[in-house]
Amino acid sequence: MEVTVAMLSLIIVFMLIYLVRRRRWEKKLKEWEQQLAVILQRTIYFEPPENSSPVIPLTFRTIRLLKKNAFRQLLIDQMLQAKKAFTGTAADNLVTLFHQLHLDKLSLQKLLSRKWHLKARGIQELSIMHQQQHTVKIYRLTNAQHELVRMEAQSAIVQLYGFEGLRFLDIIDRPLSEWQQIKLLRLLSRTPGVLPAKAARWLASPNDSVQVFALKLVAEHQQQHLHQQVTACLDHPHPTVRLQAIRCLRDIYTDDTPAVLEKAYPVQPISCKLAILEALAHIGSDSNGTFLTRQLLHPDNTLKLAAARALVITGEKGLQYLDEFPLADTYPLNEIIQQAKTEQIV
Amino acid sequence: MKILVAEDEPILIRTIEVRLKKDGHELCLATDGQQAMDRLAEFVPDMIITDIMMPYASGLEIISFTRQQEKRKIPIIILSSMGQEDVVLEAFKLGADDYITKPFSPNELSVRVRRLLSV
Repeated sequence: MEVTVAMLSLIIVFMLIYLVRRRRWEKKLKEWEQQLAVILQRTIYFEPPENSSPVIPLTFRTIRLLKKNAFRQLLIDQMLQAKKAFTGTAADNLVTLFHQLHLDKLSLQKLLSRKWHLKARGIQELSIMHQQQHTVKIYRLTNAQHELVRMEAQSAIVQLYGFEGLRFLDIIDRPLSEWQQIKLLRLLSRTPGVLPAKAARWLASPNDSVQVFALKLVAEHQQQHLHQQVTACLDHPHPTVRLQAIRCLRDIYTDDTPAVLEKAYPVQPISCKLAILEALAHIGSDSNGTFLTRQLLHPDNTLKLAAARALVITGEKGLQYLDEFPLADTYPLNEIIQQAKTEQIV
Repeated sequence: MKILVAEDEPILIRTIEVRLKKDGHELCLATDGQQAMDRLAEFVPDMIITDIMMPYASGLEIISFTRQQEKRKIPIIILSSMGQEDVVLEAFKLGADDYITKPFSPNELSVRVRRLLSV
């Protein structure tokens, strides 16, 4: 009985100590947040002098608080939020303060940490605050073993250098995930500049995912002059690359493209065959009618439908091919043709 | 002039508040869409600055609510993120007057507010 009471008392004492400490921490945090809000507003609206290098004025209290790691990290977090929200002088002032307080050293420590999540955080901090002096260390991580570290480093380099930053595509031998490709394309869509001439080299990269990404870049940036190199990708051993090459050719097509796609068609797997038929629906003409009609005999109904759609889209002649096809009235072709025609009307 | 600012990001709302107060405006702040609607039911501002993505009610809902209720036209500026072009178009259809893409310069916002209020 006595032991139980003693145990319970001990638990209650521990709980009280915990609650008191937590309350103190929350109070301190609230005070810090108010202090940080003042620092940030002063920084954002600081007017830099014209003739000397800018120094953001700080109070003694702030300088004393900056000795605490937790306060510094809180400041970094809020500065990052602010940097993402503002441009112009406000953003420049935030970078000045980051540099003035040597906060880049703290971010660099994270980048050099063994823990992947700290590394990723360090990279993010340095790139958002435009700390280009640490580019070499970030660049080395663009081919890091850990996928998330690699992704952050690649995004950071593109954020810092735009299209020129894509030079990491020359050296990476690890895969660029589908998600990372989307992320990079999105970052680049907000970046002024043009695709570097080395994009042609990436189309022949030994890394399949780099080739796929290069094909997406070529299509997105309408690099018609790379048509021949893209066509060469149709002979790639990996179907994912071939599929992307077909999609790319659809976007940068020339008069020869339909014939090139027809020629590549027989040896392709279903996914690539489907992509070719979809491409021909957009870029094909009456001259592809015979080829498309032949595909109506394929045992796969998806391909039959894609071929019928392409014929409907190519116009009068295509419709004539469909109507005159000997098996047009037999099931399932009659339903497939009906479906393709209805879609066109809608 | 009385301006209603609806924005859920603390750093943004505080920076906008400092800038526009410096310009001599009276501000009414709302940190989510519902709060903004409640404020609109209480008073008629001279201008509304609203974020698009906010908890409880979006900026688009605030625009249509304002345009349905108002007796005189209140200028509305929307704050949008990059890549929200479709939403910006929708906001203009509903009756927004101007937009600013985040990240933005607080000085630019100040100029746009002045321009819209002087029309």
